[in-house]
Amino acid sequence: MHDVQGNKQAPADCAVFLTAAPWEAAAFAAVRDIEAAGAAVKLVLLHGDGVLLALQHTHTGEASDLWTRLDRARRSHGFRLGACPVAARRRGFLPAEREGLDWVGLPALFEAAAACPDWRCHAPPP
Amino acid sequence: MTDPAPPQLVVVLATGPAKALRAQEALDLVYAGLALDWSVSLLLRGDALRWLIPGAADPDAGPGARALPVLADFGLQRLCVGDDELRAAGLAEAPLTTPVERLDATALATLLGEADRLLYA
Repeated sequence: MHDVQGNKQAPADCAVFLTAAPWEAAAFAAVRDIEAAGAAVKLVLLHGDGVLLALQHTHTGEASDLWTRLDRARRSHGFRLGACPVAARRRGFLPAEREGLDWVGLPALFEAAAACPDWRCHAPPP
Repeated sequence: MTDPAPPQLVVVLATGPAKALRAQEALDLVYAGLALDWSVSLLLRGDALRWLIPGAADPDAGPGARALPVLADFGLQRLCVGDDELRAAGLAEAPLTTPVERLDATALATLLGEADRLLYA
């Protein structure tokens, strides 16, 4: 991103909201977005089918490539990774503990995201 | 000194009664925004227009069918649809389950473009 004088600007802090399941193209797009945004990412929120990204790992022990990439990005850039426990329970999972994963309710996630001027959403197509 | 305007949240729901869980979770986003006293709008697009058809969803089964008519009571600022999309779905003159604000293309672009926060579900 450049300003009108052509000087390079630091990207705005961003929160990425991911509601697509890990097998949907939107989930891959989200992870690519997160990798590209680098340190600008302050928060990644998993909601809806997006929580399956974390649950696939925590409940089967088999990390998907997508989870591995997301976790690697989190370790590199230090963003907070939040996931909605209600969405997990609705899908028949207990929100199992995992390093670096916060199971927090939506209002708390929203409050954290409110500090980010840039929200990006990756949702499945209708 | 006046209080700063609350953050604006636009939730876009594009799934219909066949995907009730996603509709429920779109409503979760709405409720979370309302709990924080944000200014929340809900835009229905695509299959989500079917929530507005009386009898299209079993009211005992579909959260959207129950929730949409009462969201305004919980503080929802706007419940919107694109006018063109409503016409394309053949619903422009049809009775709907709840009143909606019909946006022309310019107003729709404005809503999407000016929203500080935008979430899709």
